[in-house]
Amino acid sequence: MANFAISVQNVSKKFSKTIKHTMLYGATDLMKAFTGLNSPASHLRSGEFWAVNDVSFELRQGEAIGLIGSNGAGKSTMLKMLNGIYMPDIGAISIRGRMGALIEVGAGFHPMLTGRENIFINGTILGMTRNDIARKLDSIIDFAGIGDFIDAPVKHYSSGMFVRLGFAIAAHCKPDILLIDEVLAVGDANFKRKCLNHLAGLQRDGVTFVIVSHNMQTIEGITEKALFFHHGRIAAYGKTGDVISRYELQSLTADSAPKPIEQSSDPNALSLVKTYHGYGTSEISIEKMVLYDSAGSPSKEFRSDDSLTVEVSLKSPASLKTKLCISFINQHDAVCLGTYKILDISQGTQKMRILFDKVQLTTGTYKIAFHLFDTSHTNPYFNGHFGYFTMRKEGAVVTPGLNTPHCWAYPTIKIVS
Amino acid sequence: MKTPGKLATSLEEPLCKPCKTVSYTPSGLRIEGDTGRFQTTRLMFRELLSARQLIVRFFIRDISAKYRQSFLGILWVFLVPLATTFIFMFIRKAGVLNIENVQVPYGLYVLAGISLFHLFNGGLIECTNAMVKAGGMIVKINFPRIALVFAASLQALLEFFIRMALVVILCMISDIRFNLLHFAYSILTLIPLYFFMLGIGCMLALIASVLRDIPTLINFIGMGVMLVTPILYPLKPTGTLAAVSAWNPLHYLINLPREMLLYGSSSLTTGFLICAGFSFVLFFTGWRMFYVAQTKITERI
Repeated sequence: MANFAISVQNVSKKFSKTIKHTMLYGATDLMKAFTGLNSPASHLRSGEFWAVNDVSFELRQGEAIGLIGSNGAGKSTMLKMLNGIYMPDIGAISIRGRMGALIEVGAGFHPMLTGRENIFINGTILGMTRNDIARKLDSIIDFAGIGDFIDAPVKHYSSGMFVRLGFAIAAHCKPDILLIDEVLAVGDANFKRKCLNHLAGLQRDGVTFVIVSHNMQTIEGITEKALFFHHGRIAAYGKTGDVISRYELQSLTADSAPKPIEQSSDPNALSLVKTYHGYGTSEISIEKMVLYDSAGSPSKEFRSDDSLTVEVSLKSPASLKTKLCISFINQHDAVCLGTYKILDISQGTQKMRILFDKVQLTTGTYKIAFHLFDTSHTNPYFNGHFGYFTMRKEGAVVTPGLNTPHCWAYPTIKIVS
Repeated sequence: MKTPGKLATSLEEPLCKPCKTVSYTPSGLRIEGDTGRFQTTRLMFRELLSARQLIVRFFIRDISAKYRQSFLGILWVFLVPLATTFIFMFIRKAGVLNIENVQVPYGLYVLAGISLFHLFNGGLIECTNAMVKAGGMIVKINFPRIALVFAASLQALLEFFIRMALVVILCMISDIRFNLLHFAYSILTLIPLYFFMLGIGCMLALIASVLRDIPTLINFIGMGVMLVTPILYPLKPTGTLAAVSAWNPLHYLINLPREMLLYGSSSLTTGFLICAGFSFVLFFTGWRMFYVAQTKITERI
């Protein structure tokens, strides 16, 4: 508790699903509040749900935390409670320091009044004094960069100008704690960069940050800790990279995977999930595809800095010269990594091992496209997709697919027996 | 277009000055070290004190936005009560309504009454709409929302004083002698009316932000109240209206300041004093209701 800026203890918040219940419970709750009969809020009445459920975390001064999760997971409700707009139904939130918020900037603008007039009104709403605003007026106008429009009514502003002015005012408040909700999703690239620079400056000055965003790069760039909300509860809390991986994995696996065409009896083996009927001769049959991690154990979960060995058991009717093409396909059906090699395959059953060291794929669910072409590249002896396995990003994998900072080493391909 | 420059907002003041811990709990805002009796009352005054600049800003904003795009501008403040006065003067002259004689010119009597009634009715309409007009801002920004209601009430007060100036001018040019002391009494005695309006305004502002039929209802009820309250006519000592008016606080709160201004004395003092006390209690209750309920209402907008 010693040096906290924000302390959230077992906080829960419930809402009603229908307007009828909202009004009914609203009226009874108000009556109870006036008469001092605050009934325990720990149970849900019919038609209610927990928007935030038993959430606890603590932030020290100067720390930054990212709140992530799918839509409706409770992030914005949490942010509104931190801002004091909603009170929690259970638990308590303690705040030490002046709170600022970059949430829907420009929300208090009056369309009929000029930008200059709105600076004074909005600044006062955000807690600045008249003298403060007068002193910073030039700097605000300069930061917004909307030129002569500052003396035009705000209703004539473009949406970009509106946000620029809103951000400029909010940026000139001097908070100890700053709440940010998707505010960087707007404005052009230049302005976005300026905002990010400004936030970095505040961070250097020791401002505590709470950021809600669906842009994982923003979250990762600014925060060192993250909270993953799932149905109002904390699903993960810890280092930003780990939490983002957990979130991405969960949101990706939530998409329904196609049914396998062939399920192997070996639980470690991948299933054949797609094949191209009528394309190729299917002379070579794949009996099993198993993935092994760096320790040599079969696995379906890997880390990007881990090595991955694809072991394929196949049966060929004859000795054949073939061109092996193997690639990793992500959940959007994009080929992320691939390689090929000309190989001689002997008659009968054999195993092939392809070692990727390191595999360097970003967080996600993948399948392996496996093709054994004939030398003329027209009729593959085998084609099909095997799935699925998951990756967790470790280190800096920036773009989906290839990890740009590291070069992917050419895989070692061996036929072992 | 100017080239956006560097932001001059490096934090000149040290971060986290010895600031008190603020807690948000199910029973509302709490401040470190502030416990004991009358906690809510202290928090209410603290909020109001912190909102004083905001009240002024909202007040200026509402006034300038209201009259900026209107051709007649501030003249509207005079036009409505003047038109009402002329209508009733005509009705009376035409003999449609049997309105007894008053000691001052009837037009002046009505105009003073309507001006006072507008402080109540106009103020109530402004206060009721204050939260509705603020719209999404209420759920997006945390600011003292009571500032919206107070600013709305100040707007009604300003318009009242502008109308009063007209009344004073008419007093001066008519044959009644304008007495500055009587004027001062009348201004002093309209304070309870203002707080009566503000108390109800606080309550209705909250309810209207959830139930949108309230503003329409207020307009409708306002007309009825104006006719039932003896504003356009002097009260006869007997009859149903006299019995109703005996229990109508507006009768005392409006007619005493009017009589003080026009006659310099009033027979309504006892009723007025009781109603004045009631007005302050009502104001405090309304304000407290607003304070306690505001976050609960915000969730439901």
